[in-house]
Amino acid sequence: MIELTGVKKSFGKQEVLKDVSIKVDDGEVVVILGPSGSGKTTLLRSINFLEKADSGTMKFSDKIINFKNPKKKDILYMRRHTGFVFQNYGLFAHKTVLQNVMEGLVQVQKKSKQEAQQIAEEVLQNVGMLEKKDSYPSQLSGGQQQRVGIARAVALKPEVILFDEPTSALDPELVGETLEVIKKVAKTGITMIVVTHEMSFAEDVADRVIFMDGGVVVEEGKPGEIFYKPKEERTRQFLSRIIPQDAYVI
Amino acid sequence: MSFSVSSFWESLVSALAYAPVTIKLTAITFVVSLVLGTIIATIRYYKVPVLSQIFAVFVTAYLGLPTMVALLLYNIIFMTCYADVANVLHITVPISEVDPIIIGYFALILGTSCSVSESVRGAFRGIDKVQFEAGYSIGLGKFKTLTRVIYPQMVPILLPGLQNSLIGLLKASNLVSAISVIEIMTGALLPSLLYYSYLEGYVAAALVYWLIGIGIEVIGYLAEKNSGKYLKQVATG
Repeated sequence: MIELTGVKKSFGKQEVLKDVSIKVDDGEVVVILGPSGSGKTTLLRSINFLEKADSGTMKFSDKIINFKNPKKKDILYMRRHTGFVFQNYGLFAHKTVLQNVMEGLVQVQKKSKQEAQQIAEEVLQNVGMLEKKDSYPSQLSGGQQQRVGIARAVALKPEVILFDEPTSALDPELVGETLEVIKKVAKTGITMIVVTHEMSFAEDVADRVIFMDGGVVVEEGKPGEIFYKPKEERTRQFLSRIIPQDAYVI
Repeated sequence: MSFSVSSFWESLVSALAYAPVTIKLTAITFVVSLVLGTIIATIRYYKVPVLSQIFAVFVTAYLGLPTMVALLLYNIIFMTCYADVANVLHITVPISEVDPIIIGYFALILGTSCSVSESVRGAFRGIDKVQFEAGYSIGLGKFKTLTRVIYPQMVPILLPGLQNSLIGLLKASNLVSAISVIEIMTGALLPSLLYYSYLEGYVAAALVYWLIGIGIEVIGYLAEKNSGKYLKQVATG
């Protein structure tokens, strides 16, 4: 279980997170929705300290971490128990697909090269990228890179995987293959927090949807409730712009 | 003006005999400066309190100091202070026994470290922030992210500039002749002192420097060819 309480963060004078609290249970898939600038990505990034929140606390496993002055040991602990999938893939440019997935297994988890390779190949097989294991990221399409990014996170067997708009940088044609892989990961029962704009994905996969705007959680609930019976006017407004009301042909 | 082939040959042989002095001075200075320059650049990149400010001022100031001035300055400080310092440290070696090349090392390493640190700082700016974050996200610490992810990616960015620095250093190493170290040029002139064959001596020295320079460029070319294969190909058209 991961529980954030009273998280605040400002960039200069701009307050991006104004007292945000969320709780995610083990095995739950939570989708965070919201317009740009709502603070959803910042919230996600503060969980593994890619962004340093100003205040608030985080409860994870049996640890309670204070955002104001986290210990180095706790930061490393969070990073070693969570996986992160980046919007722009974030693959190590100088390493092959296989080396990308093996890096954490060998350097962080201290597995033997042999064992690491075995795990890496298995995970790459699952995301359909085993054939490209000797390619460099620059030789792959965006969708392929993102599948490797997911494999790299999954291979380390984290307790939680954080997805930061995993399909936003992709060509529309490549979104589907990436979402399929994420759905497959979700089915393994791992805890996931996904920041995305993909509504149908959220509806299919999410156990719960959190809608954020202006640095606060506006509303949360089951996807059906949020999408079809939103309680807040702001949610309704946002959804009306994202979910096409009338399909039309040009 | 006449050109004596036999004098030229004699100077060339003498210059080649001292080539190892220049090559060793250049190579050791380069390797040490690469390490120091990378450390300085990393400290400045991470804005380590106090140290980064000190290095920022030092590098900026030091880059304006000509190598020859630095060399002669350290030499004179060494000459005047050696006796006292040796006394305090209980060193019994007389100053005449100390190889002046250590002053050459000192001056060249300081200058080259500063210029290399600026190249490395430039290379830091060429690395996407997400590469650091990706390292952290899989649980690597700061140090391992640097050594496993960032520094390796800097190599192809740095190579052309480093090759330039190395050739510059080769040429600057010639200045140690001013503090009575015998290297390629002074070596080439040894026969000239006997026969007044200075033209032949200088041409011989130039030829040896030129050959070493070509050697460096060949190594640089091979290194560039073999690094950064993962990078996208250069756009055509």
